Amino acid sequence: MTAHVHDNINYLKTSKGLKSWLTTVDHKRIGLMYLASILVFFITGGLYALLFRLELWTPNKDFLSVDQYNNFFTMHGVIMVFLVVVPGIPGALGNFVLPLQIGAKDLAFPKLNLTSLYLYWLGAILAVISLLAGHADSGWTFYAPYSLSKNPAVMWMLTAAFLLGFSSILTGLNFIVTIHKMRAPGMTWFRMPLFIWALYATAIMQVFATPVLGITLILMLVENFFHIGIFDPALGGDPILMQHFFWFYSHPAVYIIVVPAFGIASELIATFSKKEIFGYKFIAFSSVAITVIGFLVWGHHMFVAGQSEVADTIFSFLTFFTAIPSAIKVFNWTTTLYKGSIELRTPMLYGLQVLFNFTIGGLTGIILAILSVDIHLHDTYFVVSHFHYVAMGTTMIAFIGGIHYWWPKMTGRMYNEVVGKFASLLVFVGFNTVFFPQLIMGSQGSPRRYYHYLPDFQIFHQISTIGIIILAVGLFTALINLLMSLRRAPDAPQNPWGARTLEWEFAETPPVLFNFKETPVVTHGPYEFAKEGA
Amino acid sequence: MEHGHDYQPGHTYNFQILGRVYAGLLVLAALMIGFFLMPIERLPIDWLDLHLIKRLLILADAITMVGIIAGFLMGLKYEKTKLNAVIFLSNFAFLTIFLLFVMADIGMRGAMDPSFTKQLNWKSPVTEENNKMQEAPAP
Amino acid sequence: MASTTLQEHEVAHHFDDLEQEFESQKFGMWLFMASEIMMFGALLVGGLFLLYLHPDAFAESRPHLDWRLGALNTFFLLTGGFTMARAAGFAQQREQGKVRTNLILSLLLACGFLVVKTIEYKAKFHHGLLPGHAFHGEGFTSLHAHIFFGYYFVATGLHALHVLIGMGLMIWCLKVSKRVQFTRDYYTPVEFAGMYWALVDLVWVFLFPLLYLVG
Repeated sequence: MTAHVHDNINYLKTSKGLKSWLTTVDHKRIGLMYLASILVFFITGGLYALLFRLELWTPNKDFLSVDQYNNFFTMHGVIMVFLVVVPGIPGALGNFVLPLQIGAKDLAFPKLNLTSLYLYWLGAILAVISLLAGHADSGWTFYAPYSLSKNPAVMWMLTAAFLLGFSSILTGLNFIVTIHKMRAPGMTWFRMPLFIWALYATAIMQVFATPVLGITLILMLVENFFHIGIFDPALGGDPILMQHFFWFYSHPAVYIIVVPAFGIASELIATFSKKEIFGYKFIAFSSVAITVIGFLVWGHHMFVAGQSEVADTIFSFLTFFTAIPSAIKVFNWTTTLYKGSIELRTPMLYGLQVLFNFTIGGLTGIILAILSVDIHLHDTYFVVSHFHYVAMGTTMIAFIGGIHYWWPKMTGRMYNEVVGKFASLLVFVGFNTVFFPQLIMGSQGSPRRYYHYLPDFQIFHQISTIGIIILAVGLFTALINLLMSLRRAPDAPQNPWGARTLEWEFAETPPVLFNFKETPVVTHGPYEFAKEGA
Repeated sequence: MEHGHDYQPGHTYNFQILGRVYAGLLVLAALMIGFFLMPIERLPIDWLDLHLIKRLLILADAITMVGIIAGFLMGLKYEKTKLNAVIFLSNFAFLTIFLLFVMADIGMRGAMDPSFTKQLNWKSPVTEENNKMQEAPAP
Repeated sequence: MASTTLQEHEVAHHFDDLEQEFESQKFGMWLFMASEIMMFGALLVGGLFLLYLHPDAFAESRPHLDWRLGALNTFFLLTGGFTMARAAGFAQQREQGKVRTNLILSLLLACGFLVVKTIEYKAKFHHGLLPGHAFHGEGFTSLHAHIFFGYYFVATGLHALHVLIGMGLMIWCLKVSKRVQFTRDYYTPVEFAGMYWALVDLVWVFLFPLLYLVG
């Protein structure tokens, strides 16, 4: 425990060279490496989406073959789910922010943290191999029996997803232990920022649900190689069992994706309203409630798959309960805004977008949970739009908002505020232009995943395609704005937003190697703005 | 660093208790095989489903063994922090939910609308015949 | 016994004291075991599902597994769990030599388990009791006996993989025992290897009846 000289230098300068980054156990550097990798894959997955949306400009074949089209939406799905949104917020922002927000020197298991980053990279490499091995075309859900046809690209993809799941388990385990055991003196459970509560709820799902994905993927691989017949109906297996296994993980995974975004939204909305968040405990416990309910509702993905009607009814009934904690969050954020001194800085603009998009994403979810309605809407663009309002409109927007919020802490630089606001406006307009028309054409029965469509729906597809161009321009503007700030001299103050959480109040910008020069002692809650007027 | 602080990690192992636990586990394992070897076919009882009872006995035996292994060999009994036990036991709750809901599907297909299974029957017809043969005489 | 060069354990830099370090690691270990149990548990749920779907295949195939070999393996695993717990107990008493003896005993028992497993697998290969299209067992009336053997190989194979990982942990403990002096305050590696081995036992206690005894 001897104090080294470089302990008090900012973490970006303690050591130099590629090797020092690749062997680091510092959670801040690992977080930044996650961030860079995730952004690369976000762009890749986005480009796939851009290409097949351009193809959908007309109902006919334009420049993609049918196989390529199937391959592109599969790659878009797999990359976005397993390489971007699931590891995204916990891996990048959670890693960087969590120890800072609870006043710890590092995560509980720094080496394990590096291991999960390497597993993530290994998974990413396998995903790239799959790309070279042929056309993975099973969709990201790998439904049997189509995915059992010994397509090498699909098999590589299954292995990739297995490793990424393992990485996710280790991250979740690390977070739970850190939150329980490493809090600074005075950091009681109800003084933890809501982002931490959200990461905690997420981590529980990562640890308990992901192993089931692991065994599912193992069984799928074995089934591909040896045809054991657990899932393959031709051999006496049950393909719906595969869907049970898959969704027992993947429904909680939907909450793994979205709950951290709620955490970021809580931070942004409270900080930029300069007001104690309304109903702190309700927001905190609603994250935990979503976790628990999230384990009980997976069957709503299988309403038309051949599941028994009894199970359908139970799952439909239970699914309605997810609306309660979700609505608690939306109402509490809205109430926090009420009579707050709202500052419309760039991160806040993204925070407000989350509120808007999630309301649409959540309510369309309720519509889909109704059994009779779902039989009409299942496998239409309505579903596509619903989960994009959640995964993209809520999670990725919150992620981008979070990057803007913590960027000064990570790099020590402020970005251009005007450009940032302009970009966020483009993102908002672009995103809704892409997905709102899809809600309409889905409700009219336009099926998803098809290469051709009825000419009646062309106008919706065209609006959608125009939207994705606006969205892409907006996202690139935001990215370039952030990267340009790196060319400036470090100019960020320690607490540019006037936030009350530890990482802004105690840690320097950028933080020192072990985060704090001395262990902080916490004396107030995370959002106590009123008392000192901040 | 930690001197002067009378914290001791974990519990102190007691070899006497360990020996008893080991003996107990072996007895339970032997009992399990005993249940399995019970010559129930020879008993003149047909008003009780002896196969079911046999399975339940084996299951109860297995659960007892798991309890002892988790409690003593893993040390769950000695954990001072309740949380570890809660974490460890909650996954059994999740698994029960998983099993129950999966069974609510597979066991009740066609329960409301019998035509349902006809439309979506993954079982091959040959298996169904075998099942019928299976149901008639006990193996 | 303990050589003169053994070091005392030092608390890692990011922990405040031994208590925080040990309790964190223990908690992490429990979480890891919980996730392992979720994985095997899901596999067992799959097994029960198949048992329900094809009771005939299970009833017909089960007698082809030799319960005597299964019982012998149960004995090996339970005894291994006992010696691992003893190793942790001796680690607390600073008895470096006895720790090693017990670790080696456990290793031998684990090897015994794998040898028996190999004998069983060989017999299955010999009789063509294999998964999928490779299945060519004789005298089966059920069409789905191959599913039972497919499941058998997956479940026992995955379990055997965990046996191998457990053996790796024992070897690691042996290595640590040559470098670091175990004390009442620091016996974590042996303790955790023992916990992991108990997990291997625990899974087997469910797998053994499901495959060998019920069906």
